Amino acid sequence: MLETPFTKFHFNGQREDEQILLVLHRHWFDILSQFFIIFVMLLILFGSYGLTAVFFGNFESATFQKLIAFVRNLFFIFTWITFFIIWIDYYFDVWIVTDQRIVNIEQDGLFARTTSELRLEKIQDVATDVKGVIPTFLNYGNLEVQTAAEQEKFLFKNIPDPYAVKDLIMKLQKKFEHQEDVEFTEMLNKKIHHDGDEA
Amino acid sequence: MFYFVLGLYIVILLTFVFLYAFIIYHLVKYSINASLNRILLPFFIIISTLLLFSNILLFFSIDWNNLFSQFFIN
Repeated sequence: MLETPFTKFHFNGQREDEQILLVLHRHWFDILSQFFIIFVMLLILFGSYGLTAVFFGNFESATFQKLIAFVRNLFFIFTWITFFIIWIDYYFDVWIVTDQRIVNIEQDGLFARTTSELRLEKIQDVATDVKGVIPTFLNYGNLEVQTAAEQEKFLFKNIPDPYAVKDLIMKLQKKFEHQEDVEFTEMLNKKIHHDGDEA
Repeated sequence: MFYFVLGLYIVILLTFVFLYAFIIYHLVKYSINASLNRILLPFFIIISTLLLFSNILLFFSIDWNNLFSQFFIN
């Protein structure tokens, strides 16, 4: 087996003889817009230190100070959970390229998760789609894998370096095709020799 | 009035605990990177537990009856 950076990775349903070659998440810029809400929440939290003095200056009792501390703490817990929900949605949304297939695990919030797979020999065409100034500048975009079967296309959404991924998938697919040709020729040769011996 | 606030607080608290449990479940069950899990899981559990306990302590440190009387007088 080849030594890859993903040797220690393992996903549910991985076969014993299957090796992970690539693990892809959406590009970091894609999550940045979602993390903006966390930034705003933290801004509110830290801003509250100044704002409470302005708006609730009359309430200086110890009980009121405790209430403010309690509300801040509650708000921080809420921010903490929101951060992890966004992160889980990002990190667990993953495309795994192995030496046998492509696995797409789609995480939708905390309560929805779908897994689909595509065997490498079923790939017919791979196309990349990088649109816009920021995606071009940061080199991220979509990658579409077309299959022979009439099933829906396999879409890698907003992945980093889609051209390199395309090259890898094409290489793997060609390797698979070549392997199939070799196996077919060997089988044919065996059959010819077997028939010749019998005659 | 205190019991009304307490009831409301318990609902919020249970929602947080439920979400914590789901986050931990996802990290344990679906993470593909075991080494990241070894760092992230204790980090999340420790911080979350500290936050939750500090929140419970803060809640019970407030004299709710006194607070309500202050609000109604003001």
